[in-house]
Amino acid sequence: MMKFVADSEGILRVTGLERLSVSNCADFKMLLQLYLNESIQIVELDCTGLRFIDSDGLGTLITIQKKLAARSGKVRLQNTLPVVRQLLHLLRLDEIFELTP
Amino acid sequence: MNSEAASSARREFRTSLRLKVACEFSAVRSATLVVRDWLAGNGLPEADLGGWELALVEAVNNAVKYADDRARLLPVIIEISCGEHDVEARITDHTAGFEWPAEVDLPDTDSESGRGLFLIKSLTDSVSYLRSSGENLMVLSKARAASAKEVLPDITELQNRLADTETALTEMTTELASSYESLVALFRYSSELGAHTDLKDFSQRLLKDLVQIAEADCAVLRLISPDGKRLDTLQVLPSSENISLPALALAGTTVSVEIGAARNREDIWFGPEEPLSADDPLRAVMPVGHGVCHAFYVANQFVGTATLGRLMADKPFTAAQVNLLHTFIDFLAIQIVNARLLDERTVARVTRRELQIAADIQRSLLPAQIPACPPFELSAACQSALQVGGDFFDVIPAGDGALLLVIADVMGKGVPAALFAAVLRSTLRSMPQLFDQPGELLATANRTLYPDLSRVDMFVTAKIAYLDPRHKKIVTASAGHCPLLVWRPGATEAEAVGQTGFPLGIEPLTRYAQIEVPLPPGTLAMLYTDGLSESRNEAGEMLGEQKLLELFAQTAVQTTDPHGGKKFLLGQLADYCGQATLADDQTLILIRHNS
Repeated sequence: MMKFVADSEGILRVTGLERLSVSNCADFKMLLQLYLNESIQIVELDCTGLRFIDSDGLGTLITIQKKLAARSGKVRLQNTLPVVRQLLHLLRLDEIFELTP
Repeated sequence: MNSEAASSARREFRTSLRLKVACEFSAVRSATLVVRDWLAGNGLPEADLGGWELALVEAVNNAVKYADDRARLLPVIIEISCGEHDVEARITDHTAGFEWPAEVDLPDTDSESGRGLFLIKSLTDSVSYLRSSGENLMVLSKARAASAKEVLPDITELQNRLADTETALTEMTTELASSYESLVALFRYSSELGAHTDLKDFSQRLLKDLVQIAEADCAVLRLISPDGKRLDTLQVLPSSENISLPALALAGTTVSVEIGAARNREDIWFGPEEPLSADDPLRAVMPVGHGVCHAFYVANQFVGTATLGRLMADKPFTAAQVNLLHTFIDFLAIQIVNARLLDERTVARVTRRELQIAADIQRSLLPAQIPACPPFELSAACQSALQVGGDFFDVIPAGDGALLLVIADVMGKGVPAALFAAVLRSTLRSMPQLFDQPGELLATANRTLYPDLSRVDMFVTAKIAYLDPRHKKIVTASAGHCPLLVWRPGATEAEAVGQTGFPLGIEPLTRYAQIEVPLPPGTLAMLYTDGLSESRNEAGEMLGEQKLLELFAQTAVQTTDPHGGKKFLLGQLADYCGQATLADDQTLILIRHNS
């Protein structure tokens, strides 16, 4: 189950995302915006269970990244599976998202 | 998905699958999962499966994304065939089609779209796109890894996957139904926004709808107390006489997810893996199962917490249900803030009305005109501060051409102060036999008013003066009031005359001394309230008795009649105060002996 937890240091942690595609990215964005108040600088997405992401899902992450960049923030992708990491590399998106570790 | 899955031999060494997919995004996932499983059953390695799934999702998404109204009625067809050395996919769409670009470039990294074709091309060995009238065909192919071996499709596994797909579709239908219900409920609530709605009743109805639509079993709604220190309980569902949730002190030691959510401005989930602590008051309502506590705000001001609970251990709330909680509670928060604004407006209206009444009373107490008292000439003023105070003055004919002058300041402001001023005025006027004995008059008035004043812890300072034109003198007595200021012709300084006794309402049997002050020709005398001596300038500095005495002496020297004197003195005070707000009433009576 997806979970959003904002901490006092301006980090919104998102866990439990298994798939981000055209069919759920609008819901994901809407849900995220409920938590994305002005104090949030970093959206940290735990990708441990994220097994599938399509071009619309990536577009959604880029939208969030641009929104955060406007306030000097960023999207951080943690624990990405090799398949997702390869995809990000193929599309050169590993240049704009922070990938850890 | 209207699937027509068939596994058949296309050529001797190839197997194939054909799917008809409804032209909508929600159908794409199920269809591509079916293809993925079918390819897995045909022995494709995991790395290839991911690539095929993504390429097909991108291709079919395009077929849905660019479909017009007519095309949406027609299915997208996926045909896939798997041979010993390669896999080929054919996707038939009914869009207007497009020209496959000679070069498929990657868009800029910050572009939010335009990666679909690049992905399709990158994940396959060859792509062709054939346009024709009414339908188009995209053909993708990719070589199989050399180690792959052909495995016959597992029909049982395929059936299981289809069953899973059916389940997913059922869940989506249920979610759609709940979205419809919540929309209907929200439209109903929106009609009540801004209206005079009973908050308790509104919140109960809203919470009941929320519990039902979000498939919860129980809910607790708490609001922050007006002093911001407690979370008060507004609603508990299901309501029961056996369950009462006491208010929670925000700074207290009670371990509670509601306080945690309020302090950290976050939603807190709890369930079998992260249960409520043994001391958490919520346990009375939701002892087992899952729950989520949402702290809600309006314009960054904390308003309260709403907690939903579900008693079944195996069914946590979904993201969509938490979304419902947020949406419903946002509506409630708006209604709460509206109700508070209405309350504040009502209080402000009542206060304004009260001040108006007090001002009317105070104005009615002042004499319409000041009787003549030759050779003395009098002028008086009463300037009210923004909040109506308790100053008043009175000038009463006292027989033989004499006048009784009264100046008083009732402690406090508003209607109570104005009412006591009215009572004092009537009491004094009811004792004309004592007008020439101001001390006795004050003592009698004190005995009369003491019970009422002491009961409400109020008091009155007053100065009474008997102005005797025959003997050219003034006889004064004071109940805790400012002294009489006197300036005599030829003097360089003015003099403050008078003893201060207890204010009225402090001691029941107080006696008040009388002082006789001769007022020879040219003399200027003044009765006043402390609003004059306590005037403050913009820096907050108080004028003080001495400075007032100096201003009074200047007034006596520079003016000849009391009307001009009043204008001069009030002008000086206004200059001193500048832009500072008048903090207290300013009342004065000037008496000039015209020679």
